[in-house]
Amino acid sequence: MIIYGSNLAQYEDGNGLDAPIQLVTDFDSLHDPKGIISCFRNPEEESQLDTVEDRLHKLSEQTVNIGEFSSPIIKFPSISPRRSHMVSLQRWQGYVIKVSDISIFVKLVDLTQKGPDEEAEIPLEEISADDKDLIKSGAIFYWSIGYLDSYSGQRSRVSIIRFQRLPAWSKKEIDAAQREAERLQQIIGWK
Amino acid sequence: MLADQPAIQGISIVLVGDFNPKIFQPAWFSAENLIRVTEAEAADIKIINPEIVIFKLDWLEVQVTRDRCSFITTQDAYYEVVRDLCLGTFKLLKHTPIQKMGINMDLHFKMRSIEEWHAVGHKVAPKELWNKTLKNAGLRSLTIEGVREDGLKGYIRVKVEPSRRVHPGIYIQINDHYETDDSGIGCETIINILDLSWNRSFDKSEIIINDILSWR
Repeated sequence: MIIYGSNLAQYEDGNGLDAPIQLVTDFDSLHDPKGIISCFRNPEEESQLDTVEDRLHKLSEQTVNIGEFSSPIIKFPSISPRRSHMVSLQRWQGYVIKVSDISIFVKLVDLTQKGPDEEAEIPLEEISADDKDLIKSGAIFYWSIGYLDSYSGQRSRVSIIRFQRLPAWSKKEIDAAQREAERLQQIIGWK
Repeated sequence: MLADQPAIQGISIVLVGDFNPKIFQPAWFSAENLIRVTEAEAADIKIINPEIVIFKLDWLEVQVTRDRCSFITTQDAYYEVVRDLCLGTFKLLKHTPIQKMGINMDLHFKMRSIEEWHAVGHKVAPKELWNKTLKNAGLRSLTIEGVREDGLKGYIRVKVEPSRRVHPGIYIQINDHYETDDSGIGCETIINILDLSWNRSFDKSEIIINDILSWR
């Protein structure tokens, strides 16, 4: 199976694997009398992150192989979706120490540069409504402050708090952690 | 820590294995509590069919085909969130065979002057060899690969080019590539590598980038 297209990564060579695919956005063009066809941008010169759309006219014809759909040549108009970019000025990973009615008390580990852990109080109103169910002692979250450049070109100063979402540990994982803890306990010599 | 702030940056986690794309829909991710319900409802779904799924959230793009699964963000506030999403997904889909993984960084740095821009090019690709035969030899693209030092199978590949997004600017891509010898069912090995190697991968990438840009 051959997939054309690259956006974040550049292109794939014989040994590489890093070519996220880039779909054209005009879905009417994906339909063909012989069936639905998926089409992708050609990576040949699509080299860099969110590559500028200055070669769209060259992308009007592509040959695409997607699984059982092989080698149709199709014509399509394409537009390249632009993304919003964020560059953080400061990033932390934190965990909740205590929860009150109006705020959470947290410990913060600096992800931007090595430094001592910090403690902070964050008002609950800073937390997105969809994450409030995740707030409890020990919950891990990520906090970033920086500039968000929207796809329309607008720069905004933003603060983003995002609680970690991971599946609950399985009994097998808990048992393995318990065994590892016991092994370490024996090595250290704690009774 | 990066010595220079990138103008644009992004990461992708790319997994190579055997996937069932139809599983990877926004509704599935929210049903498993891996993303918010409101995000799933607002997802920009590009395509969902048995061969391929592509959808986007404000901070994420997910692309899945039969042999490849990619999680992509261009917002560094979400780097760890994307990693957790990948970990969570394949802790749930633990029988998915995955043999290869790339933790990939793409960065564009704006240079303060044309001279600085050229200096970086000359540093990574000295022109003494070329100046004998080529007039005004300049760097268009350089890819260099090194073996892993952590005992894992794979390589680290670095690409340097003039940026097409910022001028004068440098584009750097780092492909931290891992492989496993597992030929059977499951993705535990590669997911454990993602979990344990994440910080090390970023630290290594930062060292590489700082070295490239420390032209002064």
